[in-house]
Amino acid sequence: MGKRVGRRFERLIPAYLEGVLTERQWRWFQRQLRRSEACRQELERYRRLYRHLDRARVEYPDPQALESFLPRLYERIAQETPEPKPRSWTARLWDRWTAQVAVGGLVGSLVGSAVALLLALTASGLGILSESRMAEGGETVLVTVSGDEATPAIATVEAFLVTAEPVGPTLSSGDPGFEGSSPSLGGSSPAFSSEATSEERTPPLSPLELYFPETGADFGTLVAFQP
Amino acid sequence: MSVKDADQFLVEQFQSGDRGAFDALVQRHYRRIYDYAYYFTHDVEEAYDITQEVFLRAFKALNGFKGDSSFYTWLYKIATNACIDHRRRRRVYRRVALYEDLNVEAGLDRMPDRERLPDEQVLDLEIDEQIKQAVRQLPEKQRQVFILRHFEGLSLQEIADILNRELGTVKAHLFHATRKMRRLLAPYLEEVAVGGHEEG
Repeated sequence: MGKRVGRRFERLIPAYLEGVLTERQWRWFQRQLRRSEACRQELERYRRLYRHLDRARVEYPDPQALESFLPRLYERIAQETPEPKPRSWTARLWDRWTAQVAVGGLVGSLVGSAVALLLALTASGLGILSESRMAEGGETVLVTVSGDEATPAIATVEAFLVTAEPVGPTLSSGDPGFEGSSPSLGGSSPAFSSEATSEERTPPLSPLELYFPETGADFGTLVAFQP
Repeated sequence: MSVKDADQFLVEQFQSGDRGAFDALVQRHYRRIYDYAYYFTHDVEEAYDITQEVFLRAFKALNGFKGDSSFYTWLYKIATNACIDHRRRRRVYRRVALYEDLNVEAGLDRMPDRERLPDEQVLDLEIDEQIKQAVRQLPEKQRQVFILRHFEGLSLQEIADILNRELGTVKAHLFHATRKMRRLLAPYLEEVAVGGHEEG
């Protein structure tokens, strides 16, 4: 047997003993076995090795140690995965009180802040826009403004209304209930000129119709219509 | 019920709160895991400690076990990691206690009681010792595969699953390891050298 053949044969022995040779390798291997005594001897050495490995013994701890395996294991489990201890009644009471105080404080401060804000706004007399809706393609827009000064609200409406046509009673600067023009309703904006008549209004930018009901109350209402 | 099904049943029992199922799983597998740890360390106490560690880790992780692989494959994975961790710790320890460890490896602390044993058993003990020494000399990856195949009797595919390696890689490791073992144990594989103790 040549050196190269011998090396190849030896390399294939473990795979042969594992039964994972390809068919071609297996045929070659069998042929070498038939031809060569050295190959047979080498295979036999591996078989002996396998037998020794099969007989290799394991040393075990003494039987007492084996018997105590499970109790010792649970001991370690208890040490390394402690279950949460129940809290004392004082700790639970403290938790409850602190939680209640925290929630109560939070709610109280929120309510207080809201009331304070409302009072401040009412006292300052600023107009509050309470309802608004954007006009889209001929929708009616109702805007209610409370407060003595409607200017901030009108300024907002100004931006929304672009194609208004009058349908309700119109006002001019001389009509009763019309309380002067605001800067935002001035001639600079044709869409919102309070002095424009219905004949002067030309689409797409029609004037906004304003109506202040004579309620005698301090709070007026601004109504804008769009057909 | 097959071994796999029985394990799966016990795992499910444990996951639904039956701690007794874990006892059963330990009883079924601790011997195999001990053997594996022993072949890795060749030390009774270390193997025992590793086995405890393996089941401790298994207990902690068992609720998350989804059954993608068989329970014992999963357990061998834990055992392999535990053995590797143990070896790392031991390396650190060896630097500290090198002198003492060398005595242990040379067998000076634990000589077999030869007077009580017949010749054949003496030879077996000697071969056992040589096998241990040879296994220790294998590179880490080859040793894992070799132990799982030859001492634990797992299939090549099972080993590939446990070690997360390609089947071809596992085969290569095993064949290299086997050839190396053959060279290391050469004096004990010759028929003449064995002197009539051969059974095959």
